[in-house]
Amino acid sequence: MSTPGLDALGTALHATPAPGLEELPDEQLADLALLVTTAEETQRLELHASLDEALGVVPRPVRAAVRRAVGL
Amino acid sequence: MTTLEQQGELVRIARLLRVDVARLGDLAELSAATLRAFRDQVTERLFEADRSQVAGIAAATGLLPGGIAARIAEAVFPASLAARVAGLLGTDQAADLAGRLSPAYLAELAPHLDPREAGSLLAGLPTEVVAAAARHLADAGDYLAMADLVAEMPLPMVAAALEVIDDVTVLRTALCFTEPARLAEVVEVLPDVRLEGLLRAASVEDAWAGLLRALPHLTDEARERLAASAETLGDGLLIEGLLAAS
Repeated sequence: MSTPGLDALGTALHATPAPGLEELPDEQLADLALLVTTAEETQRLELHASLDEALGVVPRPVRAAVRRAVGL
Repeated sequence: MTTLEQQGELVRIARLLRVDVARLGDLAELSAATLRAFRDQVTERLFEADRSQVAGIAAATGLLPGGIAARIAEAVFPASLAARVAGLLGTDQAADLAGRLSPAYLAELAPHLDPREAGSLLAGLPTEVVAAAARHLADAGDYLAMADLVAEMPLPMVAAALEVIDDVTVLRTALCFTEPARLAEVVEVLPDVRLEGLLRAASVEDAWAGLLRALPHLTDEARERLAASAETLGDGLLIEGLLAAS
């Protein structure tokens, strides 16, 4: 059975939520979806910040090659 | 009332989502199996997110001398990111890099490793490096992370890696294993002298719950060894009763 909360969690997980999760109240499912997307976004921000910082300390002779490797 | 398995899953999910367990609300009402399945889904999602950029970092790591890569990683990468990068390095490169990291950082990183890759990654590391990381987790009282680390260790590494961990800590770690069958495999590779130590500690501390989780999954041979160890401690009747009940 599809509900807005279950759909939101499925979108956040990029997968059909595991069987059993549908027992949760819909607002809790929506909240879980928010927690998953927030964790992913936090992880992304951390990744970008770390990358910036790392490029600042990578030895100059290999910096261009490293930038290319990470797609910058 | 939540079971030990549910509590373990809730803490693991909270760590993944970087929130307090209390924030998970009604999730505590779900079965351990559902919680585990949800945790696997969250793990999968977080490991897949921005994978190409993480792969880029892994590729860039190969352009740097190992010592410099390790210094940069430890200085600027949160352990969770370093763990994702490690999962995309070749085994030899990951082992080389891990050998250059401080045990404290490695201990912080270990619980974040992709469970699908952790076993092969740990297999490539020197036992003393893994043991040092385990020691840090034990000192921090992070039994959950310890359990996850030990569960992923190749069995030949387990006994040596656990040598540096005291018996009571091993018993508490046993409580946090996700898979009791895996815990039994770990117990089976421990030498007799270690089994005796664990039985003695369980008796003194009245902390049998960890070992009890393994009992139903032990082979007959392991059960005989356990009974023999208990016999030498004069606790044979107790362990016989436990084995019979399991």
